[in-house]
Formats: sequence, C-alpha cells, structure tokens
Amino acid sequence: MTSGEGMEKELIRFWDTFGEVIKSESLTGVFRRLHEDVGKRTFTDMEMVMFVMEEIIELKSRAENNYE
Amino acid sequence: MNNILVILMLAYGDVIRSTPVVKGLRQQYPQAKITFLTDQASVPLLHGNPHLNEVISLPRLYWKKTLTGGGHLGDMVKEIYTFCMELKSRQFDLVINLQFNTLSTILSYFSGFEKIIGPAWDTKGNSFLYGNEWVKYTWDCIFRGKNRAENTYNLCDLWQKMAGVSAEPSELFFYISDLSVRRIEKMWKENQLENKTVVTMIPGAGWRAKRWPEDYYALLANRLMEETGASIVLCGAKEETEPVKRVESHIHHPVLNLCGKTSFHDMAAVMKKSSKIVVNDSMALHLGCAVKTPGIVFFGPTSPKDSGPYGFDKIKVLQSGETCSPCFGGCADMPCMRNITVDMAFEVLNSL
Repeated sequence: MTSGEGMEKELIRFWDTFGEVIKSESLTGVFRRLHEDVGKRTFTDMEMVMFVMEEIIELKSRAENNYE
Repeated sequence: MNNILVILMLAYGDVIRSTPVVKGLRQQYPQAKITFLTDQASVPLLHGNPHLNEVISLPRLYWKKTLTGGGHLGDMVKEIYTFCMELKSRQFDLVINLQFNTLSTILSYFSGFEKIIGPAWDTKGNSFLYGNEWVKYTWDCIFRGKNRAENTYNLCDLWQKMAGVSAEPSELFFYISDLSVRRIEKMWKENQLENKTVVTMIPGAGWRAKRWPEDYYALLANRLMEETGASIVLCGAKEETEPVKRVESHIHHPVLNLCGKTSFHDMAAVMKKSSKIVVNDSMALHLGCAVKTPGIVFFGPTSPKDSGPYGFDKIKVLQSGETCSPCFGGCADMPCMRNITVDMAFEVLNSL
C-alpha cells in the first residue's frame, strides 16, 4: 500500500468517526473528544496528526505536560 | 547509531545553544547521518553547521495562518499528515528531543525511533520521559523551575549530559553567510566605522523584565562616545524597533541604528565586526558567544548559571546582587536590573 492510499483510508476512517463532530462542533469538538480518550486506547496516525494540529493552532484544551 | 534526529523548535537562542550537543553527537558518531528538526523560523540559525547532514523545517506559522485563516481543512490535514508520515518513514535509530513542549513531544512519536532521549508520546497519548537521570533533572529544574535558582549547570551542558555526549571543545557555533559578511563590511565602510572602536548594543530581550533599562543603555552610549571615542551601533529584531528608537532618541550623538534591518546572519556579522557588545540575556548573548566578541551581559530575573555565556569567557555577566534574583519572573520595579548601574557597565566594558 502506498502512503497516499494509506492516507486516503485513514482520512475516510477519520471522517466516518469525526465528520459529524467537525460539522456540528468544529475542530475543537474533535480535539475535546480525542483528549477524553488519552491513555484509554491506541490512536491512529491520523488522530495523532490531529493532536499536532491542535498544537499548531495553539488551542490549549488540555493541561500542561506531566511526564511520567 | 547511523541515523540520528535532534528536535528543537524554538527559541532562537536555544537553537544556537543546542550546537554543542550536535557537535558532541558528531564526535561520538562520526559516520552517522544527523538530522535536525526545527521551526521554519529557526532554520537560518543552523545554516552551514558542519556537524549536521540535514535540517527539516516545520512550517508552523504557515500551517497556523492557513488553519486559522480559513484555509481548506482537508488540504491542511493532508499536508500535516504527509509531513508526519514522511518523518515516521525515516526510522531514526536515535532521537534526542531537547524541547519539552507538547508539539515536539508528539512529533517525537512520529520520528519512528528505535531509541529516544527526552519526552515522547506513546500510542495512547501518554507522555513519558526517556533516557538517563539528566532528562528528568532538566525537565524538573529548567522547564518546571523546581529549585532552578540552585542549579549550577548551564543548559548547554545539561543537554549534552542528556544525550550522553561531551563536545570538545564545548562551545557555541554560528556560521555567518558570505553575503552577510560582505553586506556588513560595505556598511562599515559607508559609515566610516573601519578602524574604529565599535560597540554594538542590542537592548531587546524576549520579555521586558530581562531588559536593562532603555535610559541606562542611552547613558552608557553617551559615556562611551564622549569619554572613549567609541562609535555605537544599535541592533535588534523588528519587533524591538520602537524601544531601540527610544534608546537612540536619548543618545546625544549620531549612531548607526540597524534594528529591524538585519537577518540573523547580518546580526552575527555586525557582532563579529564590533569591538565589544552590550546585550541582555537573549539570543544576542548566545550569538555573541558563538562569534566570540567580548562584551557585557545583564542578568536580573534569570540565572547566568543555566543561561549565561557559554564556551567564551570574554562576555562578562553583570548582576545587581538583589536577594530576590533570580526569580524567573519579573516585577514592576525591577530592582535587579535598575541596580546594575551605568558606572558598573562602563567600568567593566572598558576593562575588556
């Protein structure tokens, strides 16, 4: 599978999961829901990319780092 | 280790301060490919570094402007995803994350590392510190501020201890582009500064509390010009244009004000051409150490033990000795800065 195909599949899966949230709550809703799952489940690469995006936009929806 | 990644986005001064750890890595792993991931704005600071094979530029501000300015969300997701996957595909043997902020920590996850030193996320979004005891010490002391005033290690040494390397000699590095050298030489000639004692003052700093008062800078400039015949050059970043103009307005004689008109490389060339420099605890201090120009630096709310001159002992630290210093914050009165007198600065600068 090429990286392009991988991205397409990940995008489709991401949109299926979060498309409605983006429409109704914008990206902030996606970030909030992802944060609810931190430590509870394994994230996909696309979901990890959303965390990167959150940092780029500098929306601080989460407490500062507390490294273990 | 054949494929090493160093991560540090900002601040500009810190990127210059990371050059000893890069040099130490090169000395320890002479055959390795060493890559540096940094913010696009910091890339020029690493130009010409002989110990790096590649610098990866993260276009953070462009992404931010596009994402917050109504750019197409799908396109941006694809662009950032592609960037992260490209990073992941490189399969680094060793990743050294020098920055303890969240962005660099998530990006560490994408570095596809075999071994990591510093903070990184796991697949569930938990953040962990990896590596030796110096990683925890650096995080606790420098970045969380726990007992920071008692710390005696310069951050340049802490980063090397984290990475398990020791550069020899351990000093800061900055390559000045030929273009900037030529541009500043031309400027020196046009302003009749050749063969003169030139003192370059850079009155800016990242936050106000770290700045020696503007009127003190002007008083020092007046004394240097009137009592020693020195010529004064003012320099600084674009956002420091107004405060530097205020300094200039209180100087009684003509000066060369280059504030806001120089690139990083131009500023380094200006400092290199100067006889002496006068700076605050800022990127200018580290640039001065890298180009090895003697001078003075003022420390008030911060500690010269962790962020003072490194690898060059001819930039002298001036402090007032206030018991509240270093507070790593700041206050309205700023006695730690105001009580470093112009007389003190004049005497130390003339002794160099």
